[in-house]
Amino acid sequence: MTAASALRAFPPFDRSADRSAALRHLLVERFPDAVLVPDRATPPLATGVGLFDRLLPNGGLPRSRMVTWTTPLGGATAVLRAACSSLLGRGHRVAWVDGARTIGPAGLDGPLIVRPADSALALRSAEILLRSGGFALVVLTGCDPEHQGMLRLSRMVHEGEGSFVALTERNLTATVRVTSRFLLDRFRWATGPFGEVAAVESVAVEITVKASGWSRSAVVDLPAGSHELRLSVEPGLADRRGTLD
Amino acid sequence: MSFVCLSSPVWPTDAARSTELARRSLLLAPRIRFEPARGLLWADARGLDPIVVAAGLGQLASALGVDDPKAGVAATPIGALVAARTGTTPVTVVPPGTDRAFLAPLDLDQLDPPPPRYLYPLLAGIGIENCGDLARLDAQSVEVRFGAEGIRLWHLARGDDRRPVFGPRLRDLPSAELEWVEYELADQEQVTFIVNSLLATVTDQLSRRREGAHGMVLEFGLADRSRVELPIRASHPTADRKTWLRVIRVALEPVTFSAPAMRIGLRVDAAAPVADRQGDLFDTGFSTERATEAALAHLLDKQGDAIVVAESSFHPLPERRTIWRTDTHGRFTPRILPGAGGDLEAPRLGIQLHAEPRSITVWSVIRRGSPVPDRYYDGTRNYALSVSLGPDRISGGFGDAEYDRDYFQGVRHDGVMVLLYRDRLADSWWLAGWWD
Repeated sequence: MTAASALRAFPPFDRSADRSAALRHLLVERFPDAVLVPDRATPPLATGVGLFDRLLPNGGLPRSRMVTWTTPLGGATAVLRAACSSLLGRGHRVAWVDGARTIGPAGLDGPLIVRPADSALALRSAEILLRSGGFALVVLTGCDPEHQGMLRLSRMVHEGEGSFVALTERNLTATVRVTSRFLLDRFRWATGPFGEVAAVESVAVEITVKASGWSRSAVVDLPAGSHELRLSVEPGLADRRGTLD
Repeated sequence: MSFVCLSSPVWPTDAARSTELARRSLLLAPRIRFEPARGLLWADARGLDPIVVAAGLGQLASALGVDDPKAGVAATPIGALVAARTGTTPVTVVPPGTDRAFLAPLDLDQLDPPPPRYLYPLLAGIGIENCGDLARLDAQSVEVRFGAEGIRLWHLARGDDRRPVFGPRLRDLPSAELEWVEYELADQEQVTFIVNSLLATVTDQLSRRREGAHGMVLEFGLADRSRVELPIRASHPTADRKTWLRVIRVALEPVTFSAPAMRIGLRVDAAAPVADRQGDLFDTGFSTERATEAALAHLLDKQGDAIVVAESSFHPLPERRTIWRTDTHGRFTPRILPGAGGDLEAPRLGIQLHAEPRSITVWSVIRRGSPVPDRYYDGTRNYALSVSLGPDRISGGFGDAEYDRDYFQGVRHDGVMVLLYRDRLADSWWLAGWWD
């Protein structure tokens, strides 16, 4: 008996919820080896960053699947850092593998930070953390794994059943692919007393999320972190704090 | 009644009989202390029947030619010793709690060690004739009249003897070894195979004791009769065989021996109890905590300084402002407590810094007398800057550590914001980092 004939043989019910449940039960009974696709039994991991979650399929990062962010210089760190903070605030464990050892201290008071000595160790570290199943989200940056490495990562994230985002140019085994770019014409600038640009207030980032049968994009305004070095608001004047001459 | 003391006025002085006495005594009690110069043999009878041990020691001593051995059994060393020396029967038993009463009628010179000679007239001067007389006094009176020696004697007279007769009990840590003579091992894989089997024995023993090993020592006996010891450490105490095999593999990898191996031993060097922490009903990650700790330990075994925590040094130079402190605890300790989310969710660009600033070539324009970057080349491609904000001048330091830099915040044509600076001392340009 095929699924279609099973559906036809099934008597109609008044309430749609009951019908749906009964249909599901019948299908499982008749076709015990069949797998429901997509399997939504494991809920996705909502990052807590509203706009990003709305872009993702099912409202969050998929579990047991790999997500790649293929344009590392496009606000990826800002969004993922916020996601880490939000997840930590909800009691999840989060790890950040900083393969290139470039991560700044801003806003990283929380996730487990791993700074491996080289990219091979970065890859291995990510595999260990993913396979443990103890981390809700593992972020891998500064490492561009080969095809084999990507396959291994995919297998590990599948074993650990956590979420995994890799900032890498390769997206061979990724279920969800994210790209982003700055929109320079939509930057907001702070001006000085003479009308010249004094600072960047916020930047506009276009984030695009693609998955099988899924493509969404949105523009986000991200505040730019303060420079922390500059006092002078006039860009033409040198800030001469501490100068020896 | 844990102390058994065997005393004899005439003790054999030949080494053969003394050795035999000590060897056979160990069959009766696990811990023996032999003092032939004082004519004493001590046995630790904790957990045993002390009377049986005492009788057995007496018979053993008699069989080996010890003249008229007497045994004393008591809860304190002084009680057992005095009972052995003053007893008239082969075994004299001082019931528990009666050591003081047993000693009370005895002269003070029966104590061991006896009072120094200068104390006798002082003791006699206040009418103290036996242990009971001294024991009745209070400590303050004794200390005032007889000093520190008097206090020591007073303790003994009261049956209060805390001298450690037996040394500390040595911990018997798990170990395993394998020796062979028919062949020689030169291949590392074969060595690892044997180590793996030894490891199984050792980790099984550890698991039974509910302990984890901090460190182990691999010992190799080589064909040239030399011996090589290889200490191995794990980041946290564990009895997990896989973890130890992984650590041992890494430790063995760079090792080469001068000759093939003929014997391999593995012993635990340091062990600690493996604690089971109580579960927290409100901790959503408790069920995976052990797996997480194992993963972090694995990471630390791979690279000891892999896990870091950021701290600010408040140094003016960005690349030296953040200190990455190694976290070797092997536990996940979030700095953000659950429930503290909220405001932290807003994404915000933050600075990313190269571990070391990268040298770049900059084409600059002069603005108000200062060079301002217009585009730069980082060794791979050219980047034009649409906006350059700065300079922000930072200078300081002395001697070799002196710095004088003009920092610029540039916005590239692709929208990426970069932090670059001109080293005014060396007249060179550097890329410090970018915002992301």
